[in-house]
Parts: sequence; structure tokens; C-alpha cells
Amino acid sequence: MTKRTRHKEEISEDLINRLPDDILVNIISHLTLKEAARTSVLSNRWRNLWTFTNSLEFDASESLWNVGFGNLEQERSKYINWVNNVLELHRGSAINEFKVRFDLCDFHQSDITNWVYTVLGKRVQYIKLDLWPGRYGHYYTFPKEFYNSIESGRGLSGIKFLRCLHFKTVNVNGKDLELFIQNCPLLDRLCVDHSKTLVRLRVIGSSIQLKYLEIQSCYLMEEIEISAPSLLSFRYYGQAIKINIENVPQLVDVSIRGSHTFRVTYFVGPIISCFPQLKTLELDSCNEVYMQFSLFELPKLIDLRLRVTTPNRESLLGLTCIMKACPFLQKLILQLNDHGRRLGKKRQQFPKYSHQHLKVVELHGFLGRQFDVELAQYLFQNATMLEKLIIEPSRYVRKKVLRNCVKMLEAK
Amino acid sequence: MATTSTVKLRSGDNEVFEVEKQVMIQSGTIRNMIEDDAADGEIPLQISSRNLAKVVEWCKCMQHRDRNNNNDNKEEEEEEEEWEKKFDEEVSEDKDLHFGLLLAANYLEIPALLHRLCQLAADIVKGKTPEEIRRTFNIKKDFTPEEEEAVMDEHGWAFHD
Repeated sequence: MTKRTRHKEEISEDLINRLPDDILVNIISHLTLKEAARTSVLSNRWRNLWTFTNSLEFDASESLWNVGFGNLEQERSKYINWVNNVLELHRGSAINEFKVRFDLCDFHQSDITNWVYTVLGKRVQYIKLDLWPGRYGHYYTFPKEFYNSIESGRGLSGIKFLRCLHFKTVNVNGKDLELFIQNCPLLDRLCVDHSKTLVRLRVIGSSIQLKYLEIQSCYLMEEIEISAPSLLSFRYYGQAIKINIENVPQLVDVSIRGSHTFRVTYFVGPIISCFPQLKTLELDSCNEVYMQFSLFELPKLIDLRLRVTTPNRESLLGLTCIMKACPFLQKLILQLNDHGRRLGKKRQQFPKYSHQHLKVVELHGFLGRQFDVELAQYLFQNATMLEKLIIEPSRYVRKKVLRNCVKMLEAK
Repeated sequence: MATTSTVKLRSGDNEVFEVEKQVMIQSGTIRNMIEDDAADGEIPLQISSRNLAKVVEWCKCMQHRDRNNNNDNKEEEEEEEEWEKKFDEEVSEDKDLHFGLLLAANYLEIPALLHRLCQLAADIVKGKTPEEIRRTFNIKKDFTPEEEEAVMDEHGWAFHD
């Protein structure tokens, strides 16, 4: 036995030295940048291997918590020096991902732009610029020359390799985004969060490869037009805008959400009537929304997430209209918001349906109000195949109320 | 085009594995051989039978998963997840197997397997001090204390929190 163990150790020792640099670099690329750089101290062979890593994520968001008004500029230049220094040391010919996460703004335009040029030169696939909150200046924008080079097709051949773009607190307008979409043949994911210059966006073209489109908190936005045959997922969070979607045969995932005043009602009808192929749907909703569902059917929908507000203190059983429209629903997640505690006087009767495919229900923000309990009971009785019912009480619910609810449900 | 639907792989210790071509085309090396009609006889590989068996098993599981991707069979899905979990554990606990498979996946050009194995190796590195990493992977420290100090100074940001 001892002999065998010894033999094994020898093999191990031999094997680690036989691994080619490529594999070691591949392993290092799965580490965070800090961990990767720490391998430089292992041995002479490892000393510079980390500079070939294909994953460059400059995440200093943790230290952001400690940055006050006084030392922000100091921390910003420290961060910028860090990125500059690592990019200068980087020896690899290809970069998979380049992610920036720090409070930066247009004061730092030339540095940020240089970073992007550098990584595009290394055939980067995934760029994320998260400059939140971008204090004191305007949000970062790419300079005009940058877009000119994309448009002319000269000098920026690296954009051919881009697969994913994620901008947060970066000002990009519709025209800019269209340049990316039209000129990056592999681009399949685009996420824009907090752009103050995005007003109109047209994602239109039969050759567009885009699969995932997400627009978040772009509060000056007015209109979006989509006609993209490869699109799988469209997610929007913001204020009411004009949405025009057509020619999206692959679209299976839609999420439309906004602030309290947001009237999702306007979109719901067109979306559910046009896309019976949807598999997952996430909506902010109220009874007006449920009513629209009664006209349609979503036979493929298996996962439904609703943030529910009940402004008129209606019964939540209006939800049954949705459930009827989605006969094969398997998972229902409801976020209940607090609006009044008792059922309104004007009560409408809702028919009951049995739900034979519903397996998982989650009720978040459960307050133990009359209509919360009513809904839980309804689901208990009519979802015959229910495997899991998760009730997460709201922070504000009183324990006594909750105990009573549990008793009532247990009785059922 | 070759006529048979299987391919024969001979391990370094002379064990022959007969596997469906459909399974083995996940390997760039073998796919090229099949396309060049060079896979009709046995393909000799400098891979031990133990490691080769594991590679073949992995390829079968992945092919099975891809084929079943569209029908939502929950039981099979769980079974596959279970298999992958076991694979991960087995590999993480056995360095010979782990490094042997890394070399095999690299030589056979199976990107998904290589990716998985590198991820597992990275998971082992995570949270360890340099000394612990050296011990785990039998890496010989060939720096003098002064040199070590210099390397750490060079990338100070990585060593201080």
C-alpha cells in the first residue's frame, strides 16, 4: 500500500509539470483577477502566466462602499491606474471578457475609451462597463471618432468578435446602439441600464443575431421597435413607452416592469396576443391586466412571475383569468405589494379552474390580509398537482396574523 | 465517407474502446480523423485506459444530454445532473485523474470537458494561500525570499485587501 501511494505521488508531481502553459492559463482564466495575479508568486514558471488570462474583471465595487466625498477622486485615479497597469502587462492575444465596475464618469473618458480600444484589439467577446453611479460629471460616452470607425469599418475590426455588450451608467443613444447591432455579426446579448440619451431604439433587420435585449431604467425613453428573427428574450424596466414588436418567431421570454405609476396595461394585450409561443413571462400587474388575459391563450407558458398591486383593494382572485389563459403553467411567483388590508366592497365573482400542471407557487411579501389568504387557499384547492407552496411573509407582517394564517391553511 | 458508425480507440496500455462516431465527434482531433477517413482502423492514443474510459463516459453523457435537451424529461435530467456531480467530486479528489484528463481533453480537443476540468482546478485554487496551492499541486518554490518579495511588491494590489 505504501509503495502504491508513493508511486501515485510521483505521478502527480510529474503530471503537474507536464501540463502545458495553455492549460495553466486556462485554469488561471477561471480565477478572479486578484486570485490570478496571486499565482505569480508560486514559482518562476507561474510568474507571468497570469498576464495571459482571458478574463479581465476589474471589480472594485466593494471598496466603493468605503469611498466618501473626500476621497472619491483619489480612489478613482487608483482604480484607473490599476486597469491601465494590468492592461499594459497583459500578454495574451485574446480576451474573453472585460468588465469594469467602478464609479466613473465623463471626466475619465480618454482612459475608458483607451481600455475599450485595447480590448477590442484583443478580440474581446464580452464588454461590461458598469460605471454606476457616475457621480459629479455627466455619464461616460464613447467619443464621436469611435462610432465613426465602426461606421466606416476601418480601424475597429475587433468589434467583429463581440458577443455581449452591457452598459450601465453609460450614455448611449439609439443610433449608437444600432451601429453596434448592425456591425457586430456575433452580437447576441445587449443590455443598457441607465442611459440618459436613449430615446428611440430600432432593432430591425433580418440578419440581426441579437438573442437577448434588456433595457433598464432609461427614463427618457419613448419608443422601441423590434423586428429581429433571432430574438429569444426581451426585458424592459422603466416608464411607459411605445413598444412595437414583430417578426420574432423565437421570442420565448418577456419581462415588462416599471415603477408604481407604470401602466403595463397598454402592452399586455398586444404582447400576449402576438406571441403565443412565450414560455416565461414577468409582469407588473393589477386586475386590469388580468382581464386582458381572459381573451387569449398562452399554451406554452410554464413560468409566470407577477408583481401584484391591488390599487382598488380587489380580490387577488382576478389572477384566475391569467391562470386560465396559461393552462400548462408549472411555476407561479407572486410578489404582493401592500395596498390596503381589507377586501373592497365591490366584489366580482371569479370562476374557479383546476390547474393540473402547476407544481411550484411562491408568494412573496405575504401580509396575511384577507385576500392574501384567499389566494393561498384558492391555489391550495385548485392546483391539484402542487408540489411546493412557498410563502415568504413581508417584513411588516405581525407574527400573530401570520400564525392565524398558517392555522387556517393547515385546516384546509 | 467511412462506412461503419463506430470508431475504435486504443489506449496507451493497449485496451480498445469501440465508441459511436456520433459520440466521439465532440473531440476535434477524432472528428478531423473521421472527416479525413483516417478513422477506419484503430486510433492509437497516448492516454491510459482509465483516463480514456472516463473521457468516453463523459462524451456519452454530454451527447445524451444534448440529444434530450428539447424534451423535458425531468427524471433523466436529474440523473444527468447527479452523474455530473459525481464526476466533479471524483475528479476533484483524484489529482492523477484530474491532470490526466486535462491532458487528454487538451490533446483530443474537447473544449467543453477542458473548460469543466479547468473550472474544477480553479475551484481548488480559490481561497488558498500561495503556500497551500504549492502543496496541493506539488509546485516547487524556486524563488529566493528576496525574489518572492519583489514579485509581491510588483502586484501589491493582488496581495493586500
